[in-house]
Amino acid sequence: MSIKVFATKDILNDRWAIKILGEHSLSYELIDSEDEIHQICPGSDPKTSILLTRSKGEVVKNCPGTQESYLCCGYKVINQTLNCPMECTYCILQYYLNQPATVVYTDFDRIFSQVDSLLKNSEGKILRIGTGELSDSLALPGSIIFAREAIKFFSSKKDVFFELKTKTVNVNSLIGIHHGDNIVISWSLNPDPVIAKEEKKASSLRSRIDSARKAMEDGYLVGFHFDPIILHNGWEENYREIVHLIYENIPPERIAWISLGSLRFPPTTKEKIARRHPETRIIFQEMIKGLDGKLRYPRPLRVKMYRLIFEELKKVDNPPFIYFCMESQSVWKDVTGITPQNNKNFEFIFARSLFERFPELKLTPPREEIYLR
Amino acid sequence: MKLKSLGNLSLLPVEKFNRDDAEFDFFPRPKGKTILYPLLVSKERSGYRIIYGHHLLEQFTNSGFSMIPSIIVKTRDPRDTLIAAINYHKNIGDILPSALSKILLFMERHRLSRDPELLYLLKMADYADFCDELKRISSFPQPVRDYLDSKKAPIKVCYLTSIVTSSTKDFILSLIKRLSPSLSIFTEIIYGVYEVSRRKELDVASVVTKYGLIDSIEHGDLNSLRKQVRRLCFPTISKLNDGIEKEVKKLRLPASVKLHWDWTLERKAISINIEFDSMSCENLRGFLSSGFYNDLKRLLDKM
Repeated sequence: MSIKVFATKDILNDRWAIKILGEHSLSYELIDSEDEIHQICPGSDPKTSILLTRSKGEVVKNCPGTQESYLCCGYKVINQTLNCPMECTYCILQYYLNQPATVVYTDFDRIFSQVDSLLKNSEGKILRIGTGELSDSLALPGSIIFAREAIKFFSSKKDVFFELKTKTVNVNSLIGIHHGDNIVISWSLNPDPVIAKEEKKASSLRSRIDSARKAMEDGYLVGFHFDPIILHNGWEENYREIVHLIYENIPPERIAWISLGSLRFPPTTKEKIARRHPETRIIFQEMIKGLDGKLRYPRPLRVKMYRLIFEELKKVDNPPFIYFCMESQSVWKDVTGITPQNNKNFEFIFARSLFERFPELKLTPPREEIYLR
Repeated sequence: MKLKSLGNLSLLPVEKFNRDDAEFDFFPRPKGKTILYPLLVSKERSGYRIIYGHHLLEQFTNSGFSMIPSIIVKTRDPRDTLIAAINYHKNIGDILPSALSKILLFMERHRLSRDPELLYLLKMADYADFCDELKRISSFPQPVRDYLDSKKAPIKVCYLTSIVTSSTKDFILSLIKRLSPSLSIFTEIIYGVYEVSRRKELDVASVVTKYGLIDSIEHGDLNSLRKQVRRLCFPTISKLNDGIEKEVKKLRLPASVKLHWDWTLERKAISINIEFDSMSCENLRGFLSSGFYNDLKRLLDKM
């Protein structure tokens, strides 16, 4: 499939836009404004074209998370790239973003100034921020170039971890660049049978772990996200093997964090997934409408899955911080024996773990009252 | 389109209407309503074409009218005419499933299936992919159409009904005729049947036969059908709920004490409803001081 590239006229003098277009020899069509893309390719698949443009409004935001009935960790997101060239069957980005093109913002300086404001307003807190929420952090040239600049930007910042989240092996261009100890490159992980069926354009499990080792050997912290965990034949053994594979390659002290989250999506996307990916069966598994309205596996099944992975992850000495993405207090309690009291307490517990595990970063000691504000 | 912008009201002789032209006969006579509205018509060479109000013409003539109140509109093409008809109807009532189905067929004939303005007018903007299934509704047996119309079934329910009916008319017909379910129970059943068919990679008719769902209908037992479908669709939580129900029965609770919990088990909690009045208080005295707390704790652990 050939990808069309569009660029709005206003970016032609932006140094980052020139770099993205030049470094990757992208031929492109110039358009007057972002709105024009709706006329040029109305309703088209956003994966078939890329729009390079300047951002409008807030690019640095709180992770949207989900409703209060499930706990969220207070993550911050940088939405520099919107959408993703991969074809994961379960991905809501395919239906969530209403642009007919994948949008890549090229005004990095504006984005970094938004980050500076955020950091200024969050004094006393240890922040986690990343680009992998509305896209894969390393799947597109424009995202990789941003990642390199962001690494340089964040390396000198205190009390903040910058995370690049990916399912690719595109770490080569990040190796060897000067970076601080607060940069985390993380991978979403699933067993190969799931990757083959549900994450078709993503890298294999083995190559993701190999890339993680390469990043770790270059001094980066790494992270892992078991998200979405998908029920399938042999899931117990397959997820157990992933944990073994992680610890065979990465010592726990180099892992910044590991998250667990089970398959979930809004009911309205179900039929859309079925039409776009008629071969997938995962949307017809036993699922209930959760307290946030999203479809997810019944709680007892989720607890069973999490418990297996969590216990396996905890088998090493000094295991990394393990947390759940969008889970209820009762799930936390049933799996780990403890639960954050609320989102603010969750953010505090997370920060405290980072402070204790990474003393070399000289992080500000977290004080709960600051997180409760 | 506001009524006043549609044109002036005219009285037109009844014989000037082309009664055989059913191209725009989408909207049936609303049940239980006797209010008469002017017809919406367009001028043709030898008379008038009815754009809206085939049922109204019948009502006017039955009431002895020889001059029919009508609004004459000038429309350029079928799309324009359809928009006028839909907008006019929207002043009067909802677009019911059978009418929607006919309209979608009309749009298909005139290559308007993907027209965004029309889809928006029909509240179909988010459901453009459902059109093929919804179009089939107008060919379904009358009781199915009547049921969907009488319940003002939402688009998603119509879509599922269409899929199920296309595979097994008998099941839907028996369900509607024999058990007359409420819309929410009807939705739960057809959603469940559809889900199971997709999960097991069977057609809906095979699911209905294989799991004996038609038998429950034959026995006239809506509750047992509902439970059967739930068990198929939600095996894990059905089993857990059965276990909890069994435990609750064992507790032999006084009639004035009722336990409730979320069937999906997403909320791990039990709510207790105690009716404490002069009749029940003596019975409750011993009960509330017994090991009720431990019983509840045990139930919670089962969830």
